[in-house]
Amino acid sequence: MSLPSRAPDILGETGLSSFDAIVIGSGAGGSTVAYALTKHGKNVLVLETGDNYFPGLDDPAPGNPVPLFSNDELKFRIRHLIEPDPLLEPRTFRESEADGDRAFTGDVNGLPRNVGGGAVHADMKYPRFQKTDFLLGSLLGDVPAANFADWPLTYDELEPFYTEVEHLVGVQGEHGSDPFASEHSRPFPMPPGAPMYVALLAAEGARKLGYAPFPYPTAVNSRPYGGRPACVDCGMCSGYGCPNNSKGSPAVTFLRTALLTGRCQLRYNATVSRLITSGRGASVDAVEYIGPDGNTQQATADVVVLAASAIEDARLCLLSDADGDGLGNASGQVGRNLMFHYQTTGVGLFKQRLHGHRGRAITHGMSDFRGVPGDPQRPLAGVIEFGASTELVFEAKTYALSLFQRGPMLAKLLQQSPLRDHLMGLTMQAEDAPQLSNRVDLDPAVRDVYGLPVPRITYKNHDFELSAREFYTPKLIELLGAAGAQFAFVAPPDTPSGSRHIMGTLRMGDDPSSSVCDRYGKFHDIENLYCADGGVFVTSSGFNPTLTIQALALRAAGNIVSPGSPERVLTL
Amino acid sequence: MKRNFSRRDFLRLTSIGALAAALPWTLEGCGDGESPVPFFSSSERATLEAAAERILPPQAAIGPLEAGAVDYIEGLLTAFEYNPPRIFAGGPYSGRRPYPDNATGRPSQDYPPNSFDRFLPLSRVKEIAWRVRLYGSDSVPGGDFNDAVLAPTLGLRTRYSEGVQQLDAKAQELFAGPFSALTPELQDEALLQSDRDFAFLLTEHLLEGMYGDPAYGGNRDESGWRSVGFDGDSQPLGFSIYDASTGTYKERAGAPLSGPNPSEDYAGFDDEVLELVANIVSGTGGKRFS
Repeated sequence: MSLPSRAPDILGETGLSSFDAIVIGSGAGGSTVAYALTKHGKNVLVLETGDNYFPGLDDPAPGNPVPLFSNDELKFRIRHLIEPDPLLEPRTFRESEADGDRAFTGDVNGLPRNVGGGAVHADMKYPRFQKTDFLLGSLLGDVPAANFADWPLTYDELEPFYTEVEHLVGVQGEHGSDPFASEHSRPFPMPPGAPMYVALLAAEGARKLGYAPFPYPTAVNSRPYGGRPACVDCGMCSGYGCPNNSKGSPAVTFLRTALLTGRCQLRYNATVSRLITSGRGASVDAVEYIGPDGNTQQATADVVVLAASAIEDARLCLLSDADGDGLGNASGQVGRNLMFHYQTTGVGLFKQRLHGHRGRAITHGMSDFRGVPGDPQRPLAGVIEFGASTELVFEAKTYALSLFQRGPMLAKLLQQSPLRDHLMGLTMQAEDAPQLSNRVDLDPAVRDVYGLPVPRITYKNHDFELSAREFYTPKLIELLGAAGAQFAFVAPPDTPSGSRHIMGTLRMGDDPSSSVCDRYGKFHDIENLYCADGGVFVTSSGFNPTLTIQALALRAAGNIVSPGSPERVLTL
Repeated sequence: MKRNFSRRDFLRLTSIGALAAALPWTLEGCGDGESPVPFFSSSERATLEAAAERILPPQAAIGPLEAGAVDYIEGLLTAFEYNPPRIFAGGPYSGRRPYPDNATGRPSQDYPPNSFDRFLPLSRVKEIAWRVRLYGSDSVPGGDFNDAVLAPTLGLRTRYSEGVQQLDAKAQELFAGPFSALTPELQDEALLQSDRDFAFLLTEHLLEGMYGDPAYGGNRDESGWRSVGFDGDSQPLGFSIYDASTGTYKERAGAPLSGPNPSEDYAGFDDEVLELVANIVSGTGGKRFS
């Protein structure tokens, strides 16, 4: 009973046999670390649990890679090509311990598993955080039952890393167009691309009400950049891998550069199951993983970097100390302070067709609802994305399976398309208050296909974000009306949250008693273990997290290369 | 999940169970151009096609029959009779749209090859997932790892065999005839009174077959997309073309990105749709502006 054989699942320099660093995860954080370490002469092994859809990623010939991605709703949205398949890697969810072991099993905030990581499915909105986002512990004071704290670094310290990443991946945007943005030392490397009709209508409505819409900073080429072509606005962007590499995806930017140095080896379909420690857990000696054939293997290096996303990083710490409290968990904080952006979607239905399926998902947004820390008249929520990204099969299933329509009425709804072609969606990415009780631990019974306990998410919203939603709901509806909607409403929130912005669980801080990682992402308790993704976030901010993940990852790698002087990896 | 004793349970209890479980692995995959043995018999197919036409009647003379929506379901259920299995169509391009010409900002006459029809090989674990989905978790080695906690996953092939059989049985019981021979009104009644889970499953796959990519066997010649006026896949052309000579964009005249459609009607929705929309809006505390 043998399965069909496949080529060895390795990219990059296959001849490497000893490594300075092992990076777990090939997404936004891991790719950035691999880039910076290999650039500075280190040999790096990247382990990626998912498959590779970028054949030729390690081929220096121009035109490579030729992705296996496409404008195919079934492959991406229905059949789990890149998202974790709930039959293989379910997660469990409960709001609190009162729900028992679990209330739901299936897809819980799953990020894509593939070379290039979660960012493959992103439409690459790349805003920076604001200066005040790093200071919410001080600015908000005591918020009962929440765990707000200042970050152990400032915006000014991170600014050069933001700038470097924006230029390396290629971010389009209009310098100075967001009046609430903190200062940028350099303008965006590319101007905004073509605007979407739906976004222009929303922006016009916003201006009527005195708001300040702007072209959304987006890591998508608006002209040829970095050897990759301009985006053609194909429309199948959010949720899809990019067929022509015009998205500045971590795979085709940082990871490809790393692979072409000859100092990087990437093993995919390689699922890390455990970190093996010595010296009572003071250092990581080896990384154990399950290879493409299902056999367990080990790899060793001086430094290990967790970059498998906030939920999987924390899970790995817990899996690695099955009889104890979890690796690096002297603070008791591992897995806690799990945050998602609390997403509120305002829906406008227009008389005319808006063809939101044309374009790169989001072309404009506004920061007016981000608010001001401590001002009750302007509660903290988040950026608003002006968009419309319902898809056809999804739309059809909504009518048939959620609204129970069939026969001539189903046919008519598909023709008139109120919930797709006439739809404007305004999504607010609101600050999600960190709470000790919102956490990742291991499910006591449910396993993944590798036989490992799956992550269990225990998560309930705080009044902080619930009241912000209530505050901004009428304003969202007013905005949709000003944009010309015939109808407007706010979609009910999902439980579990459908957010793919996943943060916290390995919070960074200066005090080892209240944080897991230090200001560079190094574990306080473990001398050679780092985290380089959203796991280290102290608070969630109200802006898409990927750019900040990469800026922090670049800084973490800088600290590995030159401890205490991470800025030495900067080139701009 | 409580359910009746099924063919699958029968297989488990008999010595042929092990053989049946191994069967998918030992089948030689069909190459290009070969057709596997159909999953549905002609009478099962007639039942499904009749039910599909009731769930989604033809629009602009295109319905499930014309679009091949049942072929899509057949393709899903027999995916492992091809090598590679027909689960994930290839990429990046279908070959139906041309490349952009960046020197002029207009569509070129140059078309990429169709790579959608080169289905992707499955990794070891993805193969487990899709065999479980089609054949059931207890028929696939390594697929039953959560069955003790979460109950077994029933395979789609079993669900379809049993679902069609039950629909015909319901037609027989209520109206003394096979489902496909009933009048449309009686078919509606039989559907309403039949197993709701199966009706939902069929609806879900029918809609995928109507509006998913033609590479999966449905949406024949993009007829499903045409029937609702959807642009379909657009790569590599897309909707904005970078013009290197001016450093700006050109949009496609018939399919604009930044403005309304050229022949756009602002008629909005008819009364029935308007009523449904108004109900959703009032149910969610929304507002009507005009």
